[in-house]
Amino acid sequence: MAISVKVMQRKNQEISYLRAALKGMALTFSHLKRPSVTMQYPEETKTEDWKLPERWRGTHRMLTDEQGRAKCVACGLCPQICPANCIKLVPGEDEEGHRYPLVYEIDEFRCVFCGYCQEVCPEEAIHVGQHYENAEYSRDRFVYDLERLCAQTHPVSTLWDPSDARGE
Amino acid sequence: MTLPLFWVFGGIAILSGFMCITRRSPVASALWLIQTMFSLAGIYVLLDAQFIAVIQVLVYAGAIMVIFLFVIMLLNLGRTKTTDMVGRPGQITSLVLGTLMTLELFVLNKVIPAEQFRLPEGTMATMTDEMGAVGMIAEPLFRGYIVPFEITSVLLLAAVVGAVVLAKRKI
Amino acid sequence: MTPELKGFLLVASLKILVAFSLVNVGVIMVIWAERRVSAFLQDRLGPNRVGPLGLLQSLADGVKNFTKEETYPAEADPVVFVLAPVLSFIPAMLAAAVIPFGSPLPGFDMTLPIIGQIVYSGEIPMMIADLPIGFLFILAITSLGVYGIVMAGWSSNNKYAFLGSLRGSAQMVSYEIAMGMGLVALMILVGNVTLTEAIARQQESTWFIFPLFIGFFLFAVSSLAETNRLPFDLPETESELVTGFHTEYSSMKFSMFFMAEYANMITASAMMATLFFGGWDIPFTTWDEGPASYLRFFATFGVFLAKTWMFMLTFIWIRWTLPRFRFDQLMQLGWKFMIPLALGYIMLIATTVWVLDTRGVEFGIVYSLILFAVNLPLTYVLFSILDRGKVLGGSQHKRVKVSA
Repeated sequence: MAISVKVMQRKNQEISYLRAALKGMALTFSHLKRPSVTMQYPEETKTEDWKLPERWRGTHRMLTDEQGRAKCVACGLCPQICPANCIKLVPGEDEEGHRYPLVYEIDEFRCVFCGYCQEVCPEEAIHVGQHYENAEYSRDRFVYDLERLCAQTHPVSTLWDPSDARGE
Repeated sequence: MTLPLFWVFGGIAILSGFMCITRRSPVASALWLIQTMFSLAGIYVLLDAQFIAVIQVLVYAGAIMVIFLFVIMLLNLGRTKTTDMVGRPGQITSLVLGTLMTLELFVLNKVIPAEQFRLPEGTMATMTDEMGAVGMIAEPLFRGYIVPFEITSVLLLAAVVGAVVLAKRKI
Repeated sequence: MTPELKGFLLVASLKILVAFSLVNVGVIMVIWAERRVSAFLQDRLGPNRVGPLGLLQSLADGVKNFTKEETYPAEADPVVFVLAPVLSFIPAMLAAAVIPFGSPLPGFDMTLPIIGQIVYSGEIPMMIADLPIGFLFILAITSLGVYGIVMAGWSSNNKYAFLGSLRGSAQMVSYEIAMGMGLVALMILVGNVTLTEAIARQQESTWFIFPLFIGFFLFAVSSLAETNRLPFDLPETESELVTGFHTEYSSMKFSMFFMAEYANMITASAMMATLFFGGWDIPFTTWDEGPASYLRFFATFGVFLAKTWMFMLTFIWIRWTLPRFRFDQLMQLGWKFMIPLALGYIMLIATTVWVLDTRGVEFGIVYSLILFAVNLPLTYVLFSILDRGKVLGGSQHKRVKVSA
């Protein structure tokens, strides 16, 4: 059986190179007048139609109470749940029986920014933040200690909507 | 000014011609040949024959040699180091022929050309000014020597047809 | 030294300075313009940080490329490898030597403190050399640019570079013919090949875009191919050949290829402006044909720059719009369409010119318009042939019937 090929009989305007080329030229020319969509990054960090999402998970922040102490009670849940094993916690206890962290370090290089630490924290102390400008001059600056975590000021992310906590 | 420039271009032409026939790599030979053609174009300019010079560059250096290089590269001869140097009889023949040609050059150098072949100094320059570089060639080519010109073009046409026949047995 | 010789040397060196800085600054500007315009065409901003509006971006890139490491591929031919970028750069720069960039300046006779008296009698033509071979020189010199591509591809010892250079040589040799043939019709009208005369003839009648519309079309398309710009940038197709012939090049040697490409683009634009759009001629006025003066020079110089830049911007616009041709389409367009068209066009124009001359029509505006009228039906036929997809259609448009 011979092979048969169906030859499409198309209209001239569909197969014309010249008209397609001119149409393309007109289209690109019309784009000359349109406003640029570029965001001038270091000067602008948000525009009207783009801002950092509320659920953005960036570098961590430890919230503090009114006395300026970390809210952390060193329960040990966050190092337990951390899949990257990047939280180092040494608990301590003062004379009144309040537990507090002696050492609390997060290695931001190992962190995968899953946000489990924030989800698991019973005191709402440790948070992932809406922050992405983390450049440093040396690698050891990326291990954030307790003091540094408390000193962060960027907004924390809202991992879930408080009014609809189960995502319904 | 003309004579020293002539020696410069002539020297480059001879040197690169020598390099062209002594290089082992075909691509290097071709590049040296381009150099020869370029210096010939320079000599044509010194003779006030700018049109010939520019055609030399445009056709020989710019087109024909590109095709040469194209073929050399396409056949992948570029990196071979083998030679097709012939044996002792061939060497003796080339030596004899070379000596003969050199002798002919010396004899030709002694010949005084006939009066009608010699133009007074600066004729070419004034003619270029009057008729333009192209008109100077076009006038005799298409008026005086139209028949030889057409015969040449028929010859070229025959060559084209021959090439097509050789390349494409079934048309 | 006589005062005349001093004057000649001074004028010549100044003209060389102006013409070559025109090309070099033009290259810097056009690289910047390419990046900016392409950005605007794509709703972006482009480089806008270095200097005002990002104008110094190309300079910064040049400095960066100067300080980068030069790499040599293994088993590359070292001499040819180094020679290739130089050989593509020099012809690109040389071609600017014969392009007139303004109306002539008046001669001078003055005495300077140290140099003494300097004299330049007569008008100073505003080009480095008014060669009797005119634009043939540009064609010859730019045709040498292909050696840079061929040698780069061959010496790199890289199959992609090699394929790129094979394509480059085939493409440039093919389109050179169409380019030269397209200009023969212009040669018939001008009666000579010098660019000054071409401009003078256009001042007598109209710009040659009207009487030689098809010639301009041929020249514009083949200069796109000669400068290896899209849609004809087959030697450096990124999608299949990495970057083609300059794949193995780094640092300043890469920059030289880059600059050569843009210098060629400037030359092609200046050629189009000079040959078909009247060069430095200011339209609708005969003021610029009067006696030489400085004011007149600067006005015509500005007009020339504007025309050249218009073409360069069009080149950029085309590059960022049209997709690349397939190689067989490129060859078909060149050999089966452009060259026969150019040959037929020469015959048509020569016949028309002969008829007009024997009827005793004066060379002037009427003459041009008659030629324009001759061009119109040909243009219609030409574009309808192009439109039918017979030359450029994809494979599915071939009208081949296979028996069932």
